[in-house]
Amino acid sequence: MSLGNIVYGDITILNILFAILVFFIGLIIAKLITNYLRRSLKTKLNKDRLELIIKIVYYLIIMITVVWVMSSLGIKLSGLLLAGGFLGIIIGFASQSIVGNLVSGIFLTIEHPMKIGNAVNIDGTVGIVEDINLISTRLRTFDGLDIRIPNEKVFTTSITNYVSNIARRFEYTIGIRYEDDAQKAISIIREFLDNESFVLVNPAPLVFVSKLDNSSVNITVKIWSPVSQWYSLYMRLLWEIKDILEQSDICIAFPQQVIHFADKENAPTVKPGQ
Amino acid sequence: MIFGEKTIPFELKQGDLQITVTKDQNSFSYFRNCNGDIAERLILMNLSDILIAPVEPLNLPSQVAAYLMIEFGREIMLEPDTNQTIYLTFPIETGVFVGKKGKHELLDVFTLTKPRYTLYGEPRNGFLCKYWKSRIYLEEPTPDPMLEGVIKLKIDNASHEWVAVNKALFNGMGMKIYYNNNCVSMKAQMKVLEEEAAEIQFYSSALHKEMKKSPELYTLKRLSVVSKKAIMLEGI
Repeated sequence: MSLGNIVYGDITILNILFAILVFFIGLIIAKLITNYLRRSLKTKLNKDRLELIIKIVYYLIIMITVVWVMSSLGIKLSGLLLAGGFLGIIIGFASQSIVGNLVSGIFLTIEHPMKIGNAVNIDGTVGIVEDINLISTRLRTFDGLDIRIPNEKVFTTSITNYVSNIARRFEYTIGIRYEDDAQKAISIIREFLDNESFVLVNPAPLVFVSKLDNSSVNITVKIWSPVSQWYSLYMRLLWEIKDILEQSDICIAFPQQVIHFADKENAPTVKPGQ
Repeated sequence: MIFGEKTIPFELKQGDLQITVTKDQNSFSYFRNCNGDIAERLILMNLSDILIAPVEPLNLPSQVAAYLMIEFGREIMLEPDTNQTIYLTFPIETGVFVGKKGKHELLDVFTLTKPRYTLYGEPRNGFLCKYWKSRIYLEEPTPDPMLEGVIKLKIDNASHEWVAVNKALFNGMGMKIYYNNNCVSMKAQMKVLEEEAAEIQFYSSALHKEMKKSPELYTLKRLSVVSKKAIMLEGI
């Protein structure tokens, strides 16, 4: 069997091998161009936009290559479209979930509820968005795990984006003793927050007595900070507030119960020895 | 005076600030102590200069804001179709640059002021801004140039109503800072378009003769059309 043997029509084995070679060259060119784009535009574009452009360029090159390869093999596009139509119906029925994921992926791209690099919570899974494909979304959890979520699930579930706004609020509840001066505690906390760079001036922090609890007077502190800084601030400030209150002899209350004895005045006194 | 080009080795001490640069064989060591905040660098480079100059006050403690918002000590009322010039102060951040033949690279930034941040507008679509509160001066003030610079701000009320102005928003992208031994300055214009809206842009000119221009850290790097103006649509 020689390379000149005709397989069908005028197409020889050599033609098929050449087409396969062209296809792989197309793949290599697509890879080279996308790598070049990634390197040269890395500092000039946001990561999610860059990835979108790279994907479009990659699949465009692949598509052009495939069309060229097919025409060189004598496969007519009109026939392919007709066959593709039938094939699409068959595949559509056979793989509804894949098509569902694909459609969801397209709608996610349009709606844009998150970007690559955002910290999000998708149906209870918290992590950083690593990639948004047409079929699935990849998250890297804060434990370093890689999670792939089908786009259909992403699209139909609730998404909490922790960093879509430029600032966010967090709060503490600090319980002090009843004998401590709550107004003084509020003043101390306010003064302390005024010296914190990442506690926003506006919206101003709120510090107020929020509850007269069983064992403590609860002071609620609500703080706005830049979204990029809030977690480090959140981890640090509570202990520092506790420290600064204790320096002014205002202490965190422990759970306690005061018991009053009924009819204490007339209760018989028992002397030692009786 | 701390600003200007320095020849290695040198040592500067001013209040709570100390900068020491010592030369080794093929390198030099940089040490800075600013209020107990210490930075050290080893620069593997021969024959270079050090330039110390004020930079856009948006770098410390972290580059999270692209705007500087100055809140006025008092509200300004301005009659329709007039313009007035006031002076404000702004916080100083000092950059230390290393390089030779005029090509400088940022080595360090420090400040003697206490940085604060604020939000202008809503969390969804507002701006995160470096915050500074300034008295309003009708004549040029003379603050300590290591702590505060001076902005000459021309407020132009282009609307046909009386307006009240409480604050001004400055885009870090267009800041033109000039300095000499006694003063750090910027010049800007605030055009009030209507009661709640204004736009602010900087002039590329010094407040006094023989002031030097600081290197700009905030230049256009991205492939997008970024305005150098600050547009205030959420109140002035």
